[in-house]
Amino acid sequence: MKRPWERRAFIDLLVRVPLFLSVAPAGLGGCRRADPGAPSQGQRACLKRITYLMFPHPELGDEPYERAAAGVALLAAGRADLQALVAQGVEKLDGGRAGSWLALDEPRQAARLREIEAGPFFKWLYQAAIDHLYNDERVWAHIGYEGSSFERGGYLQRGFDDIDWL
Amino acid sequence: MARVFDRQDDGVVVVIGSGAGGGTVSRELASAGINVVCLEAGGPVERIETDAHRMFGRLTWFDRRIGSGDLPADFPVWSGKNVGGTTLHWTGSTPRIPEAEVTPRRYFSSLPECSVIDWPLPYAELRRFYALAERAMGVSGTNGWPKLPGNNNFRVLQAGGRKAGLKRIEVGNMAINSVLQGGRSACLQLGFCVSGCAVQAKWTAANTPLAQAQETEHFELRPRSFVLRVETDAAGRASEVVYVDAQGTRQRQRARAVCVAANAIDTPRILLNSHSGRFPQGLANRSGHVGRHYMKHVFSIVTAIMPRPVHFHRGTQNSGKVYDFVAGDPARGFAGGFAFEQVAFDPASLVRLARPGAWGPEYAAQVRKYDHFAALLVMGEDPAQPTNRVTLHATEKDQYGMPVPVVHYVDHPNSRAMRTFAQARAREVYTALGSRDVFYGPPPPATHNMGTCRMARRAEDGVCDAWGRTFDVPNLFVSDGSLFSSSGSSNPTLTIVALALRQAGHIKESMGRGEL
Repeated sequence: MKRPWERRAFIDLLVRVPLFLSVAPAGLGGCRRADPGAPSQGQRACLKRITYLMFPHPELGDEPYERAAAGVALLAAGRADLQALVAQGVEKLDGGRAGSWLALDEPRQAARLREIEAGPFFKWLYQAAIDHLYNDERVWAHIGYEGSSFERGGYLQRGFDDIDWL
Repeated sequence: MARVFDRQDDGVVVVIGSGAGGGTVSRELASAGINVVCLEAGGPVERIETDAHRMFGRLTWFDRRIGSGDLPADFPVWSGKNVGGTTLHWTGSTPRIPEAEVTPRRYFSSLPECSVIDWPLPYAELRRFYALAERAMGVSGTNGWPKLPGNNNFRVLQAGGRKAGLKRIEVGNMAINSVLQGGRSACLQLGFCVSGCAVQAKWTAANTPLAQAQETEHFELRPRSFVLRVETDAAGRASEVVYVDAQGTRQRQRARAVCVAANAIDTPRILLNSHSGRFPQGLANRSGHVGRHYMKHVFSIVTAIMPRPVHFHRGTQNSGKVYDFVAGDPARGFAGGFAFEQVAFDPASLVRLARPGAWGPEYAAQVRKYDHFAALLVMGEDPAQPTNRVTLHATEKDQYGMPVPVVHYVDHPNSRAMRTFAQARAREVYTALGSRDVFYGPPPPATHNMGTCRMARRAEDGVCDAWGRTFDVPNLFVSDGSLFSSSGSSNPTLTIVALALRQAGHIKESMGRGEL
């Protein structure tokens, strides 16, 4: 099982690269540490909700979004620039009243998100959310991706050419 | 049998880069008894993981490059930085450039703002070296090795293509073993070709020519050696290569001859950075062509949600081809031709590429059908434009203290017309089978980088002669995709290897005659 919350992404790339492929973590896993610069509980709740609104798979339940948000929050931990990006983004959604965006109903939340989608916070989170949500084996199983086949001898004997409806 | 050569040894040929071109030249020279030191910027890749995400992080050249024009500013090019270069990442596709495409002036010469030239060597010559390259690389579909079987994604392409009236649909020749051969496994259809092949069924410069070179007494590979400059002596010959070693120390390796094979971005970058009193515009750049005519193929990614499951991630990623549109036809409204190639992506990449920037319930529902996706890549001929070029940034430097390369590229209107036409034809392939959701993705950051030190008949048209020898410096060669006189519409690696084989033969003969 992959543990996205243990993956620390290629942080600089996430920020400056218009990501084509997933760019996170080659071997940069590390322990989480208490960091005064980490996103607050409220901010993390927003990150999680935004990730869900970007890519809602209601059948998956809460867990993959929790993991994805934790992974995204970890990217921002200890990074003043990303910290500020998250803080400003959430503030903007809240319109100055902390917690108010989360209290909105789903259509209104989505409408507010549309208003900020061209901004740097949304763009950054969009890439980071894809990276963390769609590199989770639980999500893979849900959408029909089977991941590494090497351990099972590849797909040679396991359906690489089994299409039967053409 | 690893050899270590003294840095003062001026009898060695220094090869810069260990990819398809550098690996091949190294092997050819070393096995002929010529001493070679190969300087590779990256490190060795010990173990391939079947995880696209992680391998992207391990294989990719992340040093700063700046894109301008139509290219992403921060990641204009996708190449490899490791022993074996971009061949760990490549798909294994090995089509030959068709004969008609080595004389592109016939159909491109009327395009405005272009600088198209023909290849300076006869096609028969290229054909001879294609055959040798296919043999050396173990290309399935040649030399009696059977073609790979088509996978589900291919069968969708084939069935849809036929319904849409296409005829030339095939599994292409691939430098991926269909049978055990060359000490490498047969393909197990793992589905992670571009992440490095875990069973080494795919030819790479690391698993074949570099491994062969290392069996000789004449080869030293120096990984993590980042080249900054090529120095010349009083006679104007390449005499020394300056690089930063694994410890971060600046070193100099003396040389009898130098082959630059650092990919079409860094090869001109090194030459431009090698400016001197004698070569104020950069080494081998009296003509001003170093870095110019950068070509990268006209790309588009077309993805489609099929009515029933495909499982396009299973098996060889890039083996299926459609060649109906390779021969150009002016009636289509543009010059030149293109191929379709099947392609597949891991989930995160698909989400980014199918509908970039899309989000919300509709897109999530589409992504939910990951296992219903089929996809192809449009790959078309890119006319050379002098303003598409690699230059050095005036002030920005990388971690080695070398000026950051700026890659400028703007699509020619001909390329835009080609892309639009190709996307519509690709749509027909998938709608013929009942798909109602076909998406046109953007061109990915290029892995096919060509033309920036091109071969030409005349010194005023290019940087190198038909052997890849620079016109200005008699013992300086270019040995990678920078050499391409035009882009063709084919994946470039087979041609890089063919040209490298031919060049190595020329170097051996020249040395035998005492001319080099």
